[in-house]
Amino acid sequence: MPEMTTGKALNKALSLILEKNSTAFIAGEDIGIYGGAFGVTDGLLAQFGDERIKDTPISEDVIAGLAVGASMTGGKPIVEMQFSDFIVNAMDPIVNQAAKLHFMYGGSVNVPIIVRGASGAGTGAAAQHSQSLESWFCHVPGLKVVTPSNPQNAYDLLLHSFVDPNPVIFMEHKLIYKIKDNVELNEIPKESSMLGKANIINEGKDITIVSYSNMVNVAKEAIAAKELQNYSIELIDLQTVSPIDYDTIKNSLKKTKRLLVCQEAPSNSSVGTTVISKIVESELFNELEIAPKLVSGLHSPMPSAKHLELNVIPQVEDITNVIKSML
Amino acid sequence: MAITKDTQLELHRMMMLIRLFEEALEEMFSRGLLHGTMHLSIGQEATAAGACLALQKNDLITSTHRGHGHCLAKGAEPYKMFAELLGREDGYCRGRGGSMHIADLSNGNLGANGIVAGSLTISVGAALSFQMQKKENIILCFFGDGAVNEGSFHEALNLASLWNLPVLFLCENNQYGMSMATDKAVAGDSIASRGTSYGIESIQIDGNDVETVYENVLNFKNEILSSGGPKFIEAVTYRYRGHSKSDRNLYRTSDEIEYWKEEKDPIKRYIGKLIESGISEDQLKDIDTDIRDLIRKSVKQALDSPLSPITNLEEDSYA
Amino acid sequence: MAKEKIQLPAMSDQMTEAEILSWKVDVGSKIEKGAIICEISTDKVDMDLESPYSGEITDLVCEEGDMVNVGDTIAEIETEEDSLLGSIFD
Repeated sequence: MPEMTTGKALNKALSLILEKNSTAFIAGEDIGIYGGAFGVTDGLLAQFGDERIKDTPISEDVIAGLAVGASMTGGKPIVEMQFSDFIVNAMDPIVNQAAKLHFMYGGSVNVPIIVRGASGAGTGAAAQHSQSLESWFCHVPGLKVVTPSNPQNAYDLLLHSFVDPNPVIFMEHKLIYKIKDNVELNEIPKESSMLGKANIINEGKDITIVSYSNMVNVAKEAIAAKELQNYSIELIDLQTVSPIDYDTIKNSLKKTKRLLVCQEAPSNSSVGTTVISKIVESELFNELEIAPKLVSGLHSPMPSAKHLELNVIPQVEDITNVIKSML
Repeated sequence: MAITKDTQLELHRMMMLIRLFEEALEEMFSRGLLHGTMHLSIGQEATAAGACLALQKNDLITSTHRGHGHCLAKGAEPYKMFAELLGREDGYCRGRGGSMHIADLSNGNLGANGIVAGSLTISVGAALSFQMQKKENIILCFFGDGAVNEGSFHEALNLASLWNLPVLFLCENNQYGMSMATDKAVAGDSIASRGTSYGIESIQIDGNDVETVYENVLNFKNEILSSGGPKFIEAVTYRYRGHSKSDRNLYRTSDEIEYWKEEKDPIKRYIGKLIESGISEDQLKDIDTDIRDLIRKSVKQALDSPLSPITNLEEDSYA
Repeated sequence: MAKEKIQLPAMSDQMTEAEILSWKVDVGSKIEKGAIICEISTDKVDMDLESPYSGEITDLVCEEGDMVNVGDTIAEIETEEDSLLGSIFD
């Protein structure tokens, strides 16, 4: 099992997809000879040629729109938003078209597209290049939203997303690109990363932590803290944030009776608030020993100075402290 | 290029079908049978009929919120369209799409779009599929004068031109967005010149002359297939009714509307031309009667057909 | 030639009734299709009503100031034209 970065794992998944599916193609800005702003498509142009790896002008609207049109006519496009913040220029093709056409046209058409974007903060890229906008898309029926956290699940989730007949928004946090780990490069992706399925990363019985995207890695570090060694902490990686795997969360809570959600995105109208709200509304409310909590980013644009940026994003100690307060 | 008598009759028949279909809808709306609004294309029959009849079944179109004419001209059955507008199970979209969102994939209609300029980038993608799959077909993208100021219009034209895609961009310039006249909305020269500015061969034509529309679409289609790359037609036309059913027509004069109805009506003009060329009034009357019968039959059938059942709509959002 | 009814149409999705503000034609008026026959007032707005037929007005069924429901007959007209869908509903 080779060791590789998440960026490389995604590259391998894309390569496998293009090899096995003659109608699959990739389009986006600087994805050809440049290899993508984060190197995810490095080498694919040489391998597959410019018919399948298509560099586009800076035109997010038509990048997403052409994906919709191509997917309705036999193509299998995977398009890239260089920074997921730029997806805002593609909102109409994604929200008003891709998400709606299957329903509006009475089921007579599918829109099997993947829109990938580099999201999240921590690289000093500042306000317009650091956002976590996944919850915007969770709000739209018809879309699926996927957030890998490590090399293995990035690989598997991308393969699962490709065979899904629905439009998938695939948000790759920038900080996971360089994470290295052993990756099984199977042709059939792992069941544990099926879309809509959460993964229990660490089993425990004292408290359930639900997280997604890079915050899973921060939470992992937090639960390894010395002060928490006497506790048994269950850590769940959502993997897909729309639809959310509530069964796994609820089964965990039946055991632990304590819920902490951790995310990088600010809390208003977010994935975390949705999870907490759904649990509070559920039959589990009366079983909880303590009110659920959410550790989230500040409701602020991302500042550019490092010390200010770190202040906005939840850090390891922030999570550790909240866990302690709940146990 | 000579148009055969059969084609002439087809063109006339299709314009009549569109006109009477829209008038039937108007009547149904007046009787309170239709939910929501409608964007009628009365007055614009020639662009829809002329363009779509110049295409093959496997050529695709994308359509607009004012798309009933496009849909019919591409081969749709009036019954299934009425059923769709009445929320019936037999409707093209099982009652889920409605007036602005009818798709008819079997006839190559990739769908009407409720967003102005919403289908321009989609048509670019479909054209890319034709190119990648090496098909000998084009996609004709309908849009209105309002669309040419949306960003997606520019992105779509730019990319289609760069990548040599087989799209025929057809602007139905009916001279008003909703209430805004094109001369107040469109900077620069004609709409056709916007196509030219992207390196696309572009032409402005009389959109109310059905044979002109037909010939130019056919011409451009052949050129796209032989030498690759998109083309652009600006078809100047006019809508008699308001933008939608809530439009009071405060932004134009009744004189202007009357002028277009009397002097420029596409159907009136074509009837004159056909009679001059020797087609009998009786033959035209027969066509008229046939279509009225078809419309009546289709409306009755649609009214008698079952409503679309309430299924799990949350599940139906996903394939 | 046949007598056709002119009914109060729904001018919008939510409209259920309107007040006849003023008649613009009389019994005996010869009009073209599309001619304005009266002004009505709905809860949202005042609007002109157009005749769906060309012909001669034979009867004005209600008076200025009357509240009328969508679908009610407000006038009758002698016309050579057929209602396209009339036979389905009448």
